[in-house]
Amino acid sequence: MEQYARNILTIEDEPQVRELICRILRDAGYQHITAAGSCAEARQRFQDQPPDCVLLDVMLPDGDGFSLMETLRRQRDVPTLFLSARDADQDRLRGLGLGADDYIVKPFLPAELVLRVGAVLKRSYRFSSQGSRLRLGETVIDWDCGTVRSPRGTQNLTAKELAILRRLAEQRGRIVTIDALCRAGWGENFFGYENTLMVHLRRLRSKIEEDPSHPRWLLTQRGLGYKLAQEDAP
Amino acid sequence: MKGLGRILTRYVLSAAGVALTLIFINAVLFFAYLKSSLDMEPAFHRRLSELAASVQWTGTHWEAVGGSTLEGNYCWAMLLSNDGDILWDEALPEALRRHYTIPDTASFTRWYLNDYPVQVWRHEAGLFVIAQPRGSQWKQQLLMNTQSLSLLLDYTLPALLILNIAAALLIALAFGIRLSRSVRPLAQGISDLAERRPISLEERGVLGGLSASLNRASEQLQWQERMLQKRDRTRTEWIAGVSHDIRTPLTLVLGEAAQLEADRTLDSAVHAKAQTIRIQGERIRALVSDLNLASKLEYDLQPLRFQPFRPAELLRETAAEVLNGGIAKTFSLEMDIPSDCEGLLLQGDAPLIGRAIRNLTGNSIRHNPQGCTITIGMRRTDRLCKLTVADTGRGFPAAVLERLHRPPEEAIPGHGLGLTIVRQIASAHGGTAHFTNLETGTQVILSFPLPAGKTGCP
Repeated sequence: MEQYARNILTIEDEPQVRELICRILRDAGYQHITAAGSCAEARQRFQDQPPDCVLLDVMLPDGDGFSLMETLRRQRDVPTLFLSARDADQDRLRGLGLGADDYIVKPFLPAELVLRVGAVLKRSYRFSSQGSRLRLGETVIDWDCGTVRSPRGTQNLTAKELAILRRLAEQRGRIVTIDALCRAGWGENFFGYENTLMVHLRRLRSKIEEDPSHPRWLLTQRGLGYKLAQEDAP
Repeated sequence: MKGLGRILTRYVLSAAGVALTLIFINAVLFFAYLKSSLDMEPAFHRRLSELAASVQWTGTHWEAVGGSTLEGNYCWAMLLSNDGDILWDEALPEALRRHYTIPDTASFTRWYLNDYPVQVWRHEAGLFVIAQPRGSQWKQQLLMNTQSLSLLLDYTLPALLILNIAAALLIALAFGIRLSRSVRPLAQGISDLAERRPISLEERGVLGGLSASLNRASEQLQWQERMLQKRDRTRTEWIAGVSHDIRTPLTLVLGEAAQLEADRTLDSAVHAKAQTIRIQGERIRALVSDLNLASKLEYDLQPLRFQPFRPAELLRETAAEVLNGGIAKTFSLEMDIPSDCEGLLLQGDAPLIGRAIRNLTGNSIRHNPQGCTITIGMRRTDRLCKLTVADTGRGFPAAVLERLHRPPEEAIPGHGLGLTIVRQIASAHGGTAHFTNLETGTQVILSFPLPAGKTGCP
């Protein structure tokens, strides 16, 4: 299923804010957006049109978002983003492993909202939403087969190369730190793999770049991390 | 409890002093009395000898030259011959007119004559005897073995003296211990009071009144503490409430402005206006969030979540966030993390420290519109982990620098809460924030203490 075809349920009691969120998401390209203003309404909507993602305000007139999430999740595990206007909520969100996928602090910019929702959707429905392919100009990476096809021929990617590339593709156009890449490749105990990571990235470059010494796609941010350039980037 | 030991020592010493003083005074008085009575003795003897000498042979009979020998409280007198016959007498009671044998003489010389205390003096004719009224004098002989006497003077008396002093000291010590026992809870209470701990002392015994006063002082302090905390909390809650109330309308302002800005059907003048609204809205958002965090940190109401984290990773993450958020081309961001810092672990609230770093880079960007190079770095010493943010911009204005160098409790949060928060975050971690101007640009060093002996790699 394509990312923009996903059904997003927005639960927010302030009508104007609710309407704004729906509009922002619609403008961003999402076609199926449902909205609710209370816990009761949210439960109803959840039944009627099972969402793929829930955007949930922490403070609702008939209950709080945290317990509503637990109720909804008991029916079906669904990615959830919290909307919060209080620092106290943020403390709770980052302190407790509530299982929320992300949280957005009010006030937010439309671009932030779209970005966060998109990221959660991509992460949750990774394989289907990212498509089975990644295009880098004339080079195509096929996630399913783990291959790189380019005018120069077809090459296989190792599991580590795939994991690293996938992490970069998730945040394409943004810098991903060395630490995050190591974590993607080697899990939580990633410390000490920085040099190995560089070896993998060099091999990756030789497979996906036309001229590995002057990379077009896999860019280095010195001392910081790497970035997978966007299609339209210069 | 050093104070108590001192009190006890003083107590015992002063008791010893009292004992010694008493002994000294007694000794002085005793010797003074002895001396005065010794001084009296020769006069007494002279008087007796004179009285005896006054009885003289006139050629016919014996007669007192002065007329009478009975001066003072003497009541009768007589002169005995060597054979025990009465040669002369004055006011001698009838019952005593008789002949005296040697045993008689020996007896009354030593003891009494018919219960009269008598005194005798050698006379040319025999023995002069003079008496005082019955019951007026007490006669006692002191007879002592010279060995016992020297034993008494050399050992028994000094031993007694030492025993007395020791007894005085022991009694003083016992009293001192008792006193210090009853003082100890008071002393503990006072030191607790100084450290703002609540105290509740037993209000009994000699020092019950003092204990009660201390208890009341403690209650008063606790009450004040509660009131202060309540006031701080109220203020912080009020700020949190206001910022919460601002956030919902601000969401709409920001959202609508950004949407207008993105609407390609509108002309550029409208876009510019929408952009102004959006940028100013974002500034209000930053201010509200800063105000909220600053007030919480100020009154220790920000719950800190201390967890081990790698500062090197946090610095990269923060830098990536700044770059991903988009900064103008005139800025460049460099990392300066030596390899010996990579594995360093720190205990702290990583998101808060990240916030401090973001505030500093944000500050460098905001105050240097012409652009500059920002360097995020890290250094370690044996005891400290130093996170630095430096730029090649204009530097801090003198007034801002002066304000930042004041002790934390003095600094008035004027505008620029961002840097105040940086300092608050550092001190909440037991660290410091040091702000300086370099030859070109600024440098801020956040120093965090490293746990002793635990600085290794994971």
